[in-house]
Amino acid sequence: MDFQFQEPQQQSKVGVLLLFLDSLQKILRAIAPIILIIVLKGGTISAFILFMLLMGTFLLVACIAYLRFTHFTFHIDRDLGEFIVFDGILTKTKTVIQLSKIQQVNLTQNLLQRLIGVYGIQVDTAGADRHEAQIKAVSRAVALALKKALIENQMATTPEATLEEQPEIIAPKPFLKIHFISLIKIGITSNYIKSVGLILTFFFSIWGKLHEIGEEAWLEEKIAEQDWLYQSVIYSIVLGIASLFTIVFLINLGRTVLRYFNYTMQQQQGSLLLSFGLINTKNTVLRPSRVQSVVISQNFFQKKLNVLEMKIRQAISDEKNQQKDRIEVPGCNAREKEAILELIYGHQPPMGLVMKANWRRLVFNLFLTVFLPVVVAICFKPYFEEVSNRLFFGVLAVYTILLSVYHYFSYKNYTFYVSDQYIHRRSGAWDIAVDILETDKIQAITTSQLFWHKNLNIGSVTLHTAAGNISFYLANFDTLKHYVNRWLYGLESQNHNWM
Amino acid sequence: MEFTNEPLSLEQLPQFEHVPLHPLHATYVKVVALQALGFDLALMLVACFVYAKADDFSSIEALVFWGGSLVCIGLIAVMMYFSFRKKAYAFREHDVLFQYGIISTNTKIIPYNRVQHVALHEGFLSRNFGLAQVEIYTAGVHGGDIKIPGILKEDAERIKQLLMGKIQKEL
Repeated sequence: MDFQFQEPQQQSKVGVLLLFLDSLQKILRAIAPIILIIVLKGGTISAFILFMLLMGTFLLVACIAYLRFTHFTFHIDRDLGEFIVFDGILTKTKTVIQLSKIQQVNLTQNLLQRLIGVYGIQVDTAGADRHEAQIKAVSRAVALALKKALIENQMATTPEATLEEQPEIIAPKPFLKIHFISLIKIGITSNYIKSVGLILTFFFSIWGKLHEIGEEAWLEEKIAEQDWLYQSVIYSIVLGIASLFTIVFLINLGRTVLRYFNYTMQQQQGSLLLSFGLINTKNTVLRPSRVQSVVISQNFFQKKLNVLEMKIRQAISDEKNQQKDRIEVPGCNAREKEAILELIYGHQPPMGLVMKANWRRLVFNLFLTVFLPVVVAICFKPYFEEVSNRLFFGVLAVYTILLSVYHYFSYKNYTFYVSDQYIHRRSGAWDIAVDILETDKIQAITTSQLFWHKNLNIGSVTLHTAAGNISFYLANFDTLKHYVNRWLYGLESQNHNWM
Repeated sequence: MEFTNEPLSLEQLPQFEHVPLHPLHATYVKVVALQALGFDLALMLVACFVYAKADDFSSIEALVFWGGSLVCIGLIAVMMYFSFRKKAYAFREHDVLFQYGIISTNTKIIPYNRVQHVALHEGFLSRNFGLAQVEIYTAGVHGGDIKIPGILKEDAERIKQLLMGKIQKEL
């Protein structure tokens, strides 16, 4: 079957079901607190009224879903080169997207869509805060054909792209496939802090929801009920830490597997097609020419297990939601990393000359995060009489040692590598990250020097790119200025495309 | 025909750090003074309000309070003046330089072929003195833009035209 999309067309018929469930879920989420209150207050509403209310809601939602379905059409106007979407029941919206402006077309499939057997399509252009157009439910064939039609058109409009496309259209074979085992390796060796944050957010959001309806005492009681101190204090601390670690471990593992299950990269017309996810399958396109910088990170355990994480940053089209433009490759090995870099840059970026930061950076960081807080803590000690001296100084000593070690290692790793075309920056104490930046992607450069560093000849440089900044602090200022002049010469004497 | 292709000596590359910079227009100091006055008045009002609310000040505490407030007010004025003095700019053949900052001296450089668009901004105060601000935007996300205040309106207009021309040419 051939899809041209010239005529306005609706979504897949089963899509009504999806829209129904989608609307129902939104409404239920909105009235959940009310239901919760009714249940908690031992509702006085008779079963009949409740039943009628629910039936009414169902009918209303069904009507809305049906209308949403009939009022939603999309088509491609080939003469004007536009993709047009009509939407809305009472307030009608017409979204017109220039085909040449389309940056990404993503096929998505969440759990609902997967159950019903339909696909969602998201169309993105640069410079918007959300998906420009979103189609909720079309069949696989339509989705693929529409995506092809949208992207094809774009290829046709960029003359330079068409030339190199031809030989590569042959059967797309998986370029990279992340093994389940690699995912597990990454899951247990990274993102500890993020997971702790997630647990806290989860806890506080529950607490907040209960607080909203004035029932937070219930949760507090539950916590107090637990016999925290039924053994010694040490025992409960150890137990607490152990259980926290186990939970973090499991959450990390679960999150990584859920998010990145079946992660595959396919080469397609000179770009990479990524798809991953267990419940929400996400599809993204990575175009090497849009890549602004790459970050490779690896910690000690990951090094031993031969896995590493890559983040590929594309030009930010959306300041609020920067995650979207950041493509993550969890758990590839050194060989696969090289293959990806090869695809993006055409060769392995050479590291070049090494540059280290001045020792004042270490001293300054220690001063700011160790010396100052400790002095403040000691000053305020008299106000906390109930804290024993032993505990107080014990905590301070542990804090000082931990942070000093952290800063020592992060200073040791802090290195800048400059070659003709590439800049690498190595940083971090535990998770060691290497940022790779092609000098052509620089948008602006800022050099800065504190006035008391003038005679010491040390200063900093910040490279502004369309995907964020890369800074290198407190290095030899003459050398930095020399490099800045070289980068400027490179940028200004040629006219390379940065996107 | 004699053809040469000498290797470029990296030492002979143009050096941004030795470019003579233009200071902002002298009239702009009036705008800065008015802005400082505005800030200081607001601060004074807050200080008076706090003083009126808290009625249990001993005379020494009151002295310290007013002394501190005056120092803050003076500091704001001085900082704003020095911030004005430190700002300077230069337009080279291929890029624009802007220097700013009191405690640290920063120099931001944007090559013309990375400029996305140029805007002219006339603030309420600046307009009365015939001054404008030239804003040069790049695709850099955090701080990739240059905003040069205190340029005569005609000059700003000319700079904008110059930049537009450069951008057109680079494309």
